[in-house]
Amino acid sequence: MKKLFFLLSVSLIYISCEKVIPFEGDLNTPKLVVNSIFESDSIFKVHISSSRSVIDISPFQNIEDAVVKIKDDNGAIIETLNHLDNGFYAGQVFPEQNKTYQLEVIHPNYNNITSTDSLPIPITINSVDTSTIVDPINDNRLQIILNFDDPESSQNYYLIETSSVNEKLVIENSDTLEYELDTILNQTMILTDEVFQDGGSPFREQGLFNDLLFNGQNKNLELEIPNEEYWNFSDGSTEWSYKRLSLTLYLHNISKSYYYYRTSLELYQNASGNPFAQPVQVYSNIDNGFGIFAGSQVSYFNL
Amino acid sequence: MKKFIFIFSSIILPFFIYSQNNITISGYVDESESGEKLIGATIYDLKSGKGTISNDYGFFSLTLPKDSVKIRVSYIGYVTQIFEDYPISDVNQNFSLNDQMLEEVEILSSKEELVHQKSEMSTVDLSMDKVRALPALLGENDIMKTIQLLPGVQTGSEGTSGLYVRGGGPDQNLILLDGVPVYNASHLFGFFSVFNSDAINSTKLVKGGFPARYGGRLSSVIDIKMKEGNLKKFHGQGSIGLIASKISLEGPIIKDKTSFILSARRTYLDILAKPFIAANQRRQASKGSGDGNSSNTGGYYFYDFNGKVNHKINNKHRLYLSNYMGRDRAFLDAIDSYNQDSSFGVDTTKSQLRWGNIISALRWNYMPSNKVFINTTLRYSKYDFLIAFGNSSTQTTINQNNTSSTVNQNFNYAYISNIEDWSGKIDVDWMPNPDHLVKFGIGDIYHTFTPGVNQFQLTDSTTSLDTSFGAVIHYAHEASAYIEDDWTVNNSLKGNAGLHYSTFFTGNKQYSSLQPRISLRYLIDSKSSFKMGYAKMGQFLHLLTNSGIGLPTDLWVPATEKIKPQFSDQIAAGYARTFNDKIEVSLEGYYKTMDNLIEYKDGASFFDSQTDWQDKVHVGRGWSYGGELLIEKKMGKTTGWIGYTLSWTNRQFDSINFGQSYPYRYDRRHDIGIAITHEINDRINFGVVWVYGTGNAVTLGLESYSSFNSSLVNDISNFNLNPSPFGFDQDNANVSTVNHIDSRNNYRMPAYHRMDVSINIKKEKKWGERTWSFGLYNAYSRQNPFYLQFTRNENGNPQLSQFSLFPLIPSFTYSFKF
Repeated sequence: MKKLFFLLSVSLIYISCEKVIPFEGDLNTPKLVVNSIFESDSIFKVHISSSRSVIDISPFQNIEDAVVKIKDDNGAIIETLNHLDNGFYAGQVFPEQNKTYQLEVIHPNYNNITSTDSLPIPITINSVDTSTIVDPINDNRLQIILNFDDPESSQNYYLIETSSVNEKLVIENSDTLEYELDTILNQTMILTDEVFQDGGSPFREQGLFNDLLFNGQNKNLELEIPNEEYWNFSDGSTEWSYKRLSLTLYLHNISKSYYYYRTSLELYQNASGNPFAQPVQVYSNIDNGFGIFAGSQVSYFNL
Repeated sequence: MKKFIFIFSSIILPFFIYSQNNITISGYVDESESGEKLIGATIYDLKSGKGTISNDYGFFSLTLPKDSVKIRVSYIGYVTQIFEDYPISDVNQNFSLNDQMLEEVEILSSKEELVHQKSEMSTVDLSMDKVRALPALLGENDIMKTIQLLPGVQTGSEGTSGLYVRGGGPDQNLILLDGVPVYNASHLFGFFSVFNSDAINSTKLVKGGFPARYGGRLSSVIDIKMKEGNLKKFHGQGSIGLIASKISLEGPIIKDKTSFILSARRTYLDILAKPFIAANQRRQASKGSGDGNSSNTGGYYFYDFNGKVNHKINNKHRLYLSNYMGRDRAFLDAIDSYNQDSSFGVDTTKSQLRWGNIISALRWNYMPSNKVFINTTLRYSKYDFLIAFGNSSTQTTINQNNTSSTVNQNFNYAYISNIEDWSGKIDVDWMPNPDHLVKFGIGDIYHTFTPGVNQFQLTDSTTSLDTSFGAVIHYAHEASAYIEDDWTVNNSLKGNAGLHYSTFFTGNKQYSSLQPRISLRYLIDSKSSFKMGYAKMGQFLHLLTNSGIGLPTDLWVPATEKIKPQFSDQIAAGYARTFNDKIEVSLEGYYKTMDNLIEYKDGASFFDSQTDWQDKVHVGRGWSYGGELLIEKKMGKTTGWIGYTLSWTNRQFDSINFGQSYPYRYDRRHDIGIAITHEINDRINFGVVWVYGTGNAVTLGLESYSSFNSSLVNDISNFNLNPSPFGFDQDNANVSTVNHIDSRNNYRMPAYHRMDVSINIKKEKKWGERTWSFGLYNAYSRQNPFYLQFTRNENGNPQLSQFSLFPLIPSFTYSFKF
């Protein structure tokens, strides 16, 4: 290793200097940040926080005293949300499918922000077929074929994810130390369907795709879940053993804004830390601020 | 039809007007000492006021009225010759000019064509003497670095030799070495170019108003001609510098008929480092416990080799064979041997990074008449790049019953990419009369692209695997034809108009483009002129680059059925004036648009080899506009130039920056390049270079905020917006921090500026001449930005840091000539 270091220092003898330079970004004008996804089975829930400069080290602040309004597409107020706790605001109205909603947030210390989005229609899952792929090397996998009809009228964007309930055992030297029911959100899936061919790894916790390849058609979406029913891992003395009791598939029909936000966020997280990758801009549909206010319609299927 | 005949005859007639009662004087212009051809020498008849310029092979042809002639032949730095004659028939006359240095009397003025007289615009000719007199990084003179000092040409990052001409990318430069395109013109990750200055005869840079004979790239042509070799005497030159040494030998094989030149250069950092590494290893070994041994070797070097032979068959036929070969290699080898308990073995690991070009050209000059010059070229060009890693191990185990078993394992991985061209072309120069110089030609290039192949080999006692993947080899044909006429309309108006047609066959797709080119010069008075030009250019190749600084990993890829070829349109207008026959000033403005540029998608990277490159890029457009000022003095004790560029360059891609336009990384508002040399006396000269450039545009996230990865937040009373980076302490929301990037290339690095100085001291020796050159690169040790990054200070607070490459670097070179 020393030799390598020596070699490097000979060849890079002139490469060196690091210098701190003044940062010319805006330090003093934080903006409001919205995190809100509205779905037809729950009331409007909005989280408001504030941004900071990248070289600021103070913690992010929840904003608890903003005026948060939901309006219809004509600008008429539907309701003003109440602050619940830790920057979360909620109302009483359930959003309706195919309707457009406007969010307005007013706070004396920040620029007012607005955003608009609508709630897509739900997708009916026609059927779900499962089978086991026998694989002695990588363990058996559960193959799922999810059948649904894509609406013809518009371009649709989808998000697929899972949650599972599992029996978890912690075993040490053949003694069971712990037993509990463990709910795992976003279990890893193997997404090899053509709609996911964007160059990324097929192993994902959530699958984002659109209907460019099957607009208005019936779609059989294929995916696999590793570890058919049981899996375990151990560090030599302790073993963690899982048995899947139930699995739920969620198919969200999401708005275009949400799709852009989620895909760019996923890219951002994958590229972060890689100096060779192009930097990624995360999409936002908030005017004068950051974050997302978007509609998502969920259908689910219990296996 | 009548209309057509009228137009046709009015175009064609002027070419033949001189046919009656004229004589043609034709021949070659060369240097008397060496027989080296002089490209661009002026041949001017003082009686009729007509003139021409020698072509790329030193050939000229001048048709004049049958009368007495008084021909003046001149070339900068050489003594002007006058030739008087009363010819009654065509004359074949060669001219050999003497170097000014040989003359006792100093000839003050140069009668070469001055800037305001030339019809070409946005074009600069560089003399190799000037390049050699200027200071250089680590003492290695570099033509590409000198070109970077000219207005309209920008440097990428510190020290690198990539060129960004009028808002174009580094792939858009047609770099020709003896007419053969060079794909990767850099050594040592771009810090040096592949061109050995000792082997070069002349260099021309064209940034706009492209003549129709050039095609295949959008932004510039760098036309480099190698020396042909001394036809009269054997000579040599060479130098010993800090990091490299080089030598050139040239001379006649058959005097005045056949000559050769050979140049070679090699860096020796690896050789210098070897004894240190060996000593280090001995020290380590003596400290070792004796049951094992390891040795490491590694290093970096590049070498290149230029060779050329030219043979004059007779006055009508000449042959030239030129070759270039260059290689860069970085490597690290480790051998570990061990002897433990009952087993012993050897483990060898080798890794390397290697790239290089091979270029060959065979050219045949044929002069069927004294007005026609035909050049036929066969060319070969290859660029290849390799990353390889290999491990082999042998382990022998002594069993309890004293038998032994041996296990061998071999593993090799290589990533290879290359581009290979075979091409042929025929170029014809036809000089019907002094008012027209017509050039036309055809050519074809057969490309083979191998952008990224992974090779994998594994052999051990149970397995034998040899596979390659990721190989999508593309074949393509690029055919072209052109015609242009350099037309002297009258005493004031001169123009060059032409058409370039090219077509590209790739997969099942054919792309074609017809590219009109025109440039005009109008003499306002005897000292000044107005010029303008328009050129459409097409480029069927793309360069996939992550860094944009010209790393060897950049991949050349063709236009495909999915990714279209690049096109540009450029208009330029300018004013040129010569003061006192000494100082040439040109002022130009340009506007250029570029279509079908490619750029990596957000988050995409070269290392992701699973995906086809076509799925990793977006297609968009770019545009650039600006003004350039060049003040140049070519003669006298003090020579050099001052260049200033004011420019704007933008890009727009539908899928990048949410469709909004953004500044190009090398969008440079102000760019200044000053290069001055001064001769104190015959023995000593000074050189100074100063450059300034607005900082590069880089992408930085300036604000942070929290984003939720999931819409499911159930337990809001225990919600924590600032989760500990170490724990999964809150399962109600998956909160992460996003650094918001307002737009691509939203932040400016600090400005770049630097001064280099050099002094050259010559001395005549019995055997020839020696020169000591001393230089300072970055003389006031400015810390220029190479890249910016957020770092943390000792308290853990974030801060913006700038990383720089080169502080003040002294250098010395000893060079000799005999």
